[in-house]
Amino acid sequence: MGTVISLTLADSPAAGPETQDELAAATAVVERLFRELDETFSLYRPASEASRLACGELTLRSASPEMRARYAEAHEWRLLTGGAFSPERPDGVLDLSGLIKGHAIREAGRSLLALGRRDWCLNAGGDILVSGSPVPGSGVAWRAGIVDPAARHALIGGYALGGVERHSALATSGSAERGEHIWRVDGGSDFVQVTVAAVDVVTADILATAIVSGGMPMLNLATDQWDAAVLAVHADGSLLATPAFRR
Amino acid sequence: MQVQITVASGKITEVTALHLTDDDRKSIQISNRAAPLLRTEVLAAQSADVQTISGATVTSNAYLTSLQAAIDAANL
Repeated sequence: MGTVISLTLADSPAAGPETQDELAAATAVVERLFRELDETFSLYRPASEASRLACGELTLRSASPEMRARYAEAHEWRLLTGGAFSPERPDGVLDLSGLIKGHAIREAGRSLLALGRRDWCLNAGGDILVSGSPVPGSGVAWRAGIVDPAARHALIGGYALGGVERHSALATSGSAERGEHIWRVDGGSDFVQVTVAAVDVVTADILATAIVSGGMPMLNLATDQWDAAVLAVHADGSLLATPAFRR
Repeated sequence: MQVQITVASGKITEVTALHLTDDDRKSIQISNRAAPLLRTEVLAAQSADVQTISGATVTSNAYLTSLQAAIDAANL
């Protein structure tokens, strides 16, 4: 995936100082999960299961249960988004990369919870999932900044996640970097960047991708059908946002 | 939304909303629509007081110059 992952663990005063072993364990579980998913699903690795499926060496029928489960999940999203999100490229090649990063973050979050970690912020390539609070037990939310697509060192806005807030996940998709990552459907949008906040990270990530691809109709579908907040940036720099992004 | 209609002589003479809360799907749909917004109207964030950064998928090289890298470095 070529993705940088940042894991922030909040200090818990009640539990005393963290031991290096505990921190290492939490980091290791996240690293292993991302690495294993990458080995299976990366189209950049010629020997991966995904690559063998893409070139026809392997059929879905003989694919691993994990591959088939993600394929089924991606297809469900295609139906839910009216085709704005698709697990297949225009040339027909199966490409689950639009789902796998969100899935990896979701699974890493589950692993952290299973390790007993309650207060953390996980960021993989700009897609974020949080749990609890940066000040454990306080209800204070994590604060996320959203990059300005026209000036990558500036922020266009912020959003509160976790704590007492309703949304725990925030994902941003864009057309500027990795232009091939999102393919636009006919009559698609001029959105250069779309940020979606939702209760879970897969929903946030897929809706952000689908809105870049499907434009205004998909944006309205997303805000009608999901508990989602959206901040979209047009090619001319103007903004569209749901009320949760308003000051 | 539940409504009550009053019918007189075969015609609807009154429509009354009985229930309109945020639990109601339609009211969420209406209130959650995206609208144009000026940059000064967006929930603000200063890079000094955020703990994490969301942006479109970036390569490792792009990351090195990104704000997330600065935040991670500050936390070390």
